[in-house]
Amino acid sequence: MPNGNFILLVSVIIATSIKYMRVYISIALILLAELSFAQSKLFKELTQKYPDQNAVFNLISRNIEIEPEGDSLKILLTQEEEIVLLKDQAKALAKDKIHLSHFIELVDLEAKTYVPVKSKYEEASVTDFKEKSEQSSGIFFDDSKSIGFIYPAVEQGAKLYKKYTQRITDPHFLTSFYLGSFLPAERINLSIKVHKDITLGFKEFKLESSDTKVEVTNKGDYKIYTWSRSDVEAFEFEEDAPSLNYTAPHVIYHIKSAVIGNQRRNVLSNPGDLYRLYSSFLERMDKAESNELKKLVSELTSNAKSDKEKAENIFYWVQDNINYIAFEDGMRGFIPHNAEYTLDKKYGDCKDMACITKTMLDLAGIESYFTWIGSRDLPYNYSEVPTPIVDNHMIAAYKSGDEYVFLDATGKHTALGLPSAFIQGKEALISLDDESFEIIKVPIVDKEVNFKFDSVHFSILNEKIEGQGKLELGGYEKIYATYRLTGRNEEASKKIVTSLTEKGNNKYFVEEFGIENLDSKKLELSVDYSFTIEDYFNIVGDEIYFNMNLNKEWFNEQIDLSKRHLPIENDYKYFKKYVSVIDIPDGYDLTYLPESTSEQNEDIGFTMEYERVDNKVIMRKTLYADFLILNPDDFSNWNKVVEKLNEAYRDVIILEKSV
Amino acid sequence: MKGSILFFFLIIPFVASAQEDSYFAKAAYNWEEQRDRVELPTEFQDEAAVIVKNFTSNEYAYSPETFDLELFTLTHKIIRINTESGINRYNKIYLPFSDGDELAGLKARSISPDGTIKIIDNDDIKELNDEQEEQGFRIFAVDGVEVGTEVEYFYTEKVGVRYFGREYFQSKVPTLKAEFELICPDNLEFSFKSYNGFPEVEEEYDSTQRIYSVTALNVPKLQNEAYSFYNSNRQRLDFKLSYNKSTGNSRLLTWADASKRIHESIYSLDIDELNAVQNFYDGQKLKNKLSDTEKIREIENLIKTEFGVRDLPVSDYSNIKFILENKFGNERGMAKLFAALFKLARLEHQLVLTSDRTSVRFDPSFDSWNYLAKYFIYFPKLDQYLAPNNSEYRLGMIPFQYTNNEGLFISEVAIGEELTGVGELKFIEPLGYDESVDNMNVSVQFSDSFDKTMLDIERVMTGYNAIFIQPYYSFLTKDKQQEVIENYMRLSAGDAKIDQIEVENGDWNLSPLKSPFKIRSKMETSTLIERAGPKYLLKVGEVIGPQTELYQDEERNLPVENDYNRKYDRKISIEIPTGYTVKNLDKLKFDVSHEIDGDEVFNFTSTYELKGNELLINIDENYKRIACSKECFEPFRKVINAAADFNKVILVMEKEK
Repeated sequence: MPNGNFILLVSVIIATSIKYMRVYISIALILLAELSFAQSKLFKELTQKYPDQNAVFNLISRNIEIEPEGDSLKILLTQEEEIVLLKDQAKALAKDKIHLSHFIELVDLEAKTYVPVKSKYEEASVTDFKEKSEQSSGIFFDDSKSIGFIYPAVEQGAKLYKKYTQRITDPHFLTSFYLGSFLPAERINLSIKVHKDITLGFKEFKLESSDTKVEVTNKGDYKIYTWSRSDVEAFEFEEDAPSLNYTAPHVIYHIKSAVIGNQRRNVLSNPGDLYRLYSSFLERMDKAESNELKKLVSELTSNAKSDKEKAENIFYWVQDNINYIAFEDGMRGFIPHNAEYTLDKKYGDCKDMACITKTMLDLAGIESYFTWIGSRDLPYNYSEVPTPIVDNHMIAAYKSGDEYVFLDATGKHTALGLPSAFIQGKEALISLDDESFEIIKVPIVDKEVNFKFDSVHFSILNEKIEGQGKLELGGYEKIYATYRLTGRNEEASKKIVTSLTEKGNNKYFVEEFGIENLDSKKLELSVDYSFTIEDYFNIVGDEIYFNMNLNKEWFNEQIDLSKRHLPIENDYKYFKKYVSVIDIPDGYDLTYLPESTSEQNEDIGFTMEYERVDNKVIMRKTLYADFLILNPDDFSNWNKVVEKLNEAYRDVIILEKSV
Repeated sequence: MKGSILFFFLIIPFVASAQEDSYFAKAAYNWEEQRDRVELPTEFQDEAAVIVKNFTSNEYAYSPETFDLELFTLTHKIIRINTESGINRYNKIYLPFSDGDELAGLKARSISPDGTIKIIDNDDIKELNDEQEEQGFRIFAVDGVEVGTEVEYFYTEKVGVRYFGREYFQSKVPTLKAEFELICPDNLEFSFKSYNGFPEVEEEYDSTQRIYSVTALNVPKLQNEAYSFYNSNRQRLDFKLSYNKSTGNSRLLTWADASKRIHESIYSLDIDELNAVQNFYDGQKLKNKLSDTEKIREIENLIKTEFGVRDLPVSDYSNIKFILENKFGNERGMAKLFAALFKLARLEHQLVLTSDRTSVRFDPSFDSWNYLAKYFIYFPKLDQYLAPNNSEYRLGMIPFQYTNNEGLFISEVAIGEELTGVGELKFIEPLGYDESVDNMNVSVQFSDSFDKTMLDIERVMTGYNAIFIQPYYSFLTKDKQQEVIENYMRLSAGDAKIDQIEVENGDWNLSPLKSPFKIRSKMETSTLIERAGPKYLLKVGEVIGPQTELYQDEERNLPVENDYNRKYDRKISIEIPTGYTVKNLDKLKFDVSHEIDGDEVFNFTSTYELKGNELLINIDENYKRIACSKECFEPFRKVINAAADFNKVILVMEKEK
């Protein structure tokens, strides 16, 4: 519905609005404002302070109280938020909700609008609260819920106020707090009040660049930790930026230990405690044993000559036969199903797939381990953050010589030994047995592994280009293409091959093509194809102007240093090579050949070489990106390369009719 | 549209004597417990999946206890999965429900290629609820799915009785057998209409009930095609209750009935509502000397600035008193508020209800109230429409989906003391091509060293070409405004440095028909120039920005349907540097057009003129017809492609000898 889109767009706009800026209020709005109410002092001040904003948080405040209660802990979280609407455009914020999950019980919730009347406010309370199942993207079933409501009588100058109290039912599942938001905020604070019998742990991220005030005070039996900021700018959102966790000031807090029944017990003070918690989840798995699984493993491994081959056969079987479907269902979010269950269902979430992989490897005589890991969105390590916030994924691992091999069967087309792209460089918590574990970093895959080679040989025929090409893809380049190509019919495959080999202009057509190794996890993907391009080059008089760069990757992709503030994230490092070979048409001579050129540094680089061999002109180009995160300090590296490459892309060869 | 007329109850008196054994025959429905897998015709082996069976049944019966008419529905599907992508699409099942529906039975299973049957455990069926929308989904993952598996499920529900229905039988994969059935007591009669090639329904009659049914074999898959709307082209069946022989022989639920009922639901206000809206109206102090148009605009700007639409099925949300106090309402509520204010201002108007033609085209010949999906207000004296629920639109313009479509126009008439609604089916004319323009005026100069071009650009957008930016522009922070404008002005030049941006008519509450959204800016770019030894190539075609293309030669099955009529008028002036000549000016000439019945409906025309060292290029591109037949796709495509071909025009500049 257009209106829904409108609201959505407005929220996106509000969510992405950034900074303090010059005044922009239309005459109509000023008139309206004057007609509808005499402005309150707060509204006046904020409008002057944030002339460019539609709305501002007057307050975001979280208070947590932790104290012993019987033989457990009572943890209450109270959050208060107040938004001041500076323009009518902010009305979209009238629709609000709070989130609940398995480990959170809602104790109290109130919400109201402070409606400006003359220079005062009148209160209008929300009376209608509605529950809704919340779904997160990529997760099939999620048991988390939200409570939605609509603020009444919302208008310019109004304040939207909400306050809720939650009881956190399990002391292991405290969360984190961001000292910032999608709107600017006058004040943001977090305070955690802890009884002296309880030791609080916390880790601060990106606070150094903020002006956060940190205080610890003692009050009777309690210690109070507070973090507070004022005049907080809104978060920035930019394309290809890593998750907010990389740049936003935030605090992750957890309970290290507590005296319960006269005895101090560790809750989550170090990775060992976290491991014990995780280990207890594994103990809660239903045990089962089946001949079916044994039979399957022996079928898969009886002809295998090495452990590696056995592991490959098992891993690939799981990838091919167990479909990834994610569930977040209470404790089920932490406890895997046993392998027999998953074998029967033929689907599972990451834990189920890790479990069936591990169980099958064990049955094949390869000792293997449950392994917890966080995606790259979580830039934390286990020693700093020994809480369940640190990770969000489970895989299996086994040891080959001194090295661990990580197996993530949720990726359907990953070769054994290649981790999923989103866990490269992350710490893995490997469960060796009930008591012991190891923390090992997953390697970052070298750029040379993730390659794309595209070579074409073509000639000019009737103002058209006709040629043959070969595309070869390895590593993640291959995996991404394989996802697109698998199970497609001829027509759909052709479109995908066209987009994978895109060149020239939008009159580039793939004619015939053949794909090899699509089903092979190990071998590089290779595509032979023939193609035509129309209207690509210019014939003027006796001359043909021809740009040998049929593909202009990175063309015009300079980073605008004045506008780009956040780092740039790359899914993986890569290396690309393009070769184009043109037959000089009969009756033509090459009269101009551009010079070879290159520019390289530790982050990115290119080379471009031109050569004439007999009646052919050959252009060879390589490109590489050797980073996962490019920080603003290194943007100049990027620009230097792209600017030189742009220059090179503008050069063409000239072929002239020989008389 | 929530809280709509369909929430009104219709009394269908019970006359025929209820027989216990006729009470929901489908309650005992079951699948074949043991069955062979279905043999798949070879031509379908390549499809990601094939719908082997799609059976829906609507069974109406009187409750023997309450004597109320009740509805029992059944959906039974068998899907054969052939590929990996087929697995991903069909191994997770989502079954929608509305609050109040009572699930009677739900069974799901998979039958693998080796014949193994796996039944889905009831505990694995989860519910997702949304109390605000009063609806939800039952979801489950299907066990044991692999390539070759048949996924089968059926569910039966007792649902709120409804008198209008619509079922779709065509999707992105082929269907081997589509079956529909409607059973009702013999005093009732339903009407049916099949669309887009779906076969006609047949009627059978036994002593106590009517059975309507239709089976379609081999319904082909339907794919998306450019310049057509998918859903409106799918095979479907619409049905409605038409007669209740127990009460008489006149047709039920006609357009006339709809007109009366909608009139009542919009204009009958209780005393609190009347007082509230009167007070609100009086408070606005609309000046008498204003013209009708000015009054409408004042009211529209006020409501669309201060009030929001929350389209939820909450009865309060369509109560005017509630809306005025809380500053939001649902779609019916907002239509009521506008109608009440226009009435108080003595502005003659009609209510218009219609459907989204990109989803289902309104069929005036079949009186299903399902077509009455969205409210608009029409002012006959001005011949203009207003969209009460689209805050970004202003008088004269409503979302294009609802134009070029029939609609039910309801006028208020007095019959004796009483006011009622009288309906008329009329065509909602779309805006003309020259009301949605995107015009450009560009001048191009070269830098002395030929490494850059400097452009002066003016872009003027009206109508639908402006609606995507103009209403939102004033919501943005300065940074975002600049970003958005730069994206509009960058054209094909990724490296463009854009400055001296001026925006005209970027305020809230403007109509893009009256106040064109204008952007002026200067731009500097190296992208438009390539070097070829001593010569320079000017990529003049890229000055008009990237154009859509239809180069791929694909089989066309669907007629052409555009979003809206439109015009692009572009003027480019290029200052040729002294001492240079352009060698291939003839490349600038384009003249591609298409006529229907003697009218030029689509065209792309480009001409040039050389005045001294100034090269003037004039490009005129028009789309004056929204829909035309499948046969006109080829000529339409040629016009679209002409614009894309223009993108590739490169002028060669050579030093004069």
